[in-house]
Amino acid sequence: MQEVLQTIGSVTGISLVLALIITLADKWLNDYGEVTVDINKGERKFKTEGGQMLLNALAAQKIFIPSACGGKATCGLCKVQVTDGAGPLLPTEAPYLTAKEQETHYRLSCQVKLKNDMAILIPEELFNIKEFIGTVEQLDNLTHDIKLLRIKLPEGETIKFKAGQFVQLYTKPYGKIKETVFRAYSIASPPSDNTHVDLIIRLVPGGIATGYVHEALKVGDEIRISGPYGDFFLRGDEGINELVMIAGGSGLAPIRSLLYDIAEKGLDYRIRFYFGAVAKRDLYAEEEMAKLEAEYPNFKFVPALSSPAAEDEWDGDTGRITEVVDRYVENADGKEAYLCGSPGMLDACIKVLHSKGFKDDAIFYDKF
Amino acid sequence: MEFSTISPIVIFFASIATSNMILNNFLGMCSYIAISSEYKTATGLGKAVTLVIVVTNAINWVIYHLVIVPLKIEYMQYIIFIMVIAATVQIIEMAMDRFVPDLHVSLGIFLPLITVNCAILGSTLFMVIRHYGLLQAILFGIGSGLGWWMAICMLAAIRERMQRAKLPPGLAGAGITFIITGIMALAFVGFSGIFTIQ
Amino acid sequence: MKENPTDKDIRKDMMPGRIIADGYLGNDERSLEQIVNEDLSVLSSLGVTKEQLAAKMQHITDKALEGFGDPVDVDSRYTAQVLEFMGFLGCPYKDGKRLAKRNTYVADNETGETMIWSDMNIHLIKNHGFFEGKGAQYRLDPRRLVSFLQLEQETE
Repeated sequence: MQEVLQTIGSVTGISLVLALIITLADKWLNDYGEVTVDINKGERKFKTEGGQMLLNALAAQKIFIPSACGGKATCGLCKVQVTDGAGPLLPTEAPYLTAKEQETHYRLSCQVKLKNDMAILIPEELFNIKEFIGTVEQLDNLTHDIKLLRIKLPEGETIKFKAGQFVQLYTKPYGKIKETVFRAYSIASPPSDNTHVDLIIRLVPGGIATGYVHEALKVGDEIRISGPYGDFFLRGDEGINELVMIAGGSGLAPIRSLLYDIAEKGLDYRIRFYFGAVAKRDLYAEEEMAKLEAEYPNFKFVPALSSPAAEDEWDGDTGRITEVVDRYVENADGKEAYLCGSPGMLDACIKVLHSKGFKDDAIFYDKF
Repeated sequence: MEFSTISPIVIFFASIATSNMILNNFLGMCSYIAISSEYKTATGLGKAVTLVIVVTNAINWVIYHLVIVPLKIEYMQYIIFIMVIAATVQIIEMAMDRFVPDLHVSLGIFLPLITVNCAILGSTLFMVIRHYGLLQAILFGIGSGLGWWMAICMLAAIRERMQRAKLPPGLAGAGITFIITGIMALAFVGFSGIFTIQ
Repeated sequence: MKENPTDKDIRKDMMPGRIIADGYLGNDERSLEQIVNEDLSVLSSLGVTKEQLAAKMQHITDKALEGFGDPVDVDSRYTAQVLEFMGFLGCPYKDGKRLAKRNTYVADNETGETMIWSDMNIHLIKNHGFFEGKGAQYRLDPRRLVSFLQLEQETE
């Protein structure tokens, strides 16, 4: 009996001493004091405890660098540019960085330890991605199956995005749907209104998130979104003086944001916006577009109905969107095209644009 | 044979040539096979193993003689040695990161790897079984470490040269590595007459 | 029948609220393998392969696509119309395929019979032999589909 106790006691004692030594060593050796991290040349600065990994320190500041492996240096996604204070490149990082990236001080943020003050550069897009719990301020019918959802961001929070980008909307369980799903929707409001996010959402038969917005959501409800994401935004490259915009259905959303943004900034482009719908009941936002036309003389909204109903008394353009684009767009000189719509419409319109001489690098659309 | 009377110098040379950790005792094989495809990383790992063997041999000698023997808990020595090795490696890594970051860059990633390297526990156990004194234990540690380092470097050099060799698919990788190791061990038998410590 | 773990994963994604609101299984309690095997044996008794079936469906959808939502005449036998939405759906079998959210509404001009299928239906039939569970919103009965598409082998 005594032997057992003695064994347990001595082993426990030794483990205790070892644990104590490690804890003390950790406290003394791993204490790098407080360090300051400077992001994008002073755009944001924060102080944090030294000794942790950069990736974790950034995550604690709600700056989420994409990482798939969780900090094990196996996915190579968490690259950031560390301009000062990173120390030498580790062998664990080298395989994931090209020679050019190594030269320009790219590092894997999961491997870089904060030992002293550090200056880093991260892409604007990542820096701006945030999560918001907003409230539904407005939920209006635009057509029989399209709703405008206006979300007010929480007090004091703002979203910084480029016109054309999208957010992800998280549903709550409703009806027989027991889980949360998220779906992407383009922002329809201009970046200048940074306390609201407008989304234009068309009901999809069997759709989970669209069903949620159309059937379960009410004004005043809380709603979770994150963003902005995406590379659909105005390029306006050298020598571009005309923008061709083409949309159908709820694809009007990012174009609306782009148009407001361009009008507010007073950019000098000739803009033609071709909007395709089947009949008048699918058409919306005409008043808004007319107002924009008045404010921005170089802009023209061209709605086209493919088969107007008899009672529509339609005197505008008729025909499929591809026919209308084919009719009005003469060539690709000095033009960029911005498209948003369903996959079939995109494919067909891109084909027409190609036939007019548009190169792929002058045609922009979201691929989700 | 009375091990405890052998000169530390002899122990040192013997543990490199005739009692090599890998080539005679086949200890520490996992990392030896896994990390030997490139000379640069092999030598990094060799350095780390050498450092850890020396330090843990010394510490474990002290623990054995000042704690384990007086408390008569020799039957618990394996657990205690392993705990001591793990703790030591932890502390070495932290200290290195703090004071010699450059060395940490080249050795740091190997340190956690070799916590469970059997060559390290093996060398501690040999030292205990053979009743070495502290000086003998330290020199035995240095010799074992250097021997391990030399062996993995030789293997890595051979493997680098063989990179373009056309091997039957079944032999490529670990297969041919074991065969090379076997041939290397045979070659080392040539030293066996010089001195014996085991 | 015991299901292997991948089947379990696929089944999970076929439940309501994962990919589409109603899911793909309806109230079918059979295993995936059973559902697929039973439908495929019906198909083979009619002398039609799932590839033939899918090819004919794809043909009608492709033709209808040219109409951009307007009804299109297909092979002077059917009137077909597509309804398209933005975005894509991932196949529940996790084969990496993304399908457009596109429904094809087809009416047979002679019999007046109508059917609806999605691009997902075509993919699931062609690649996985899956016609969806009994009671599912977009379940396609193989016997009915074959007769609707006039694919029966007359020799039988």
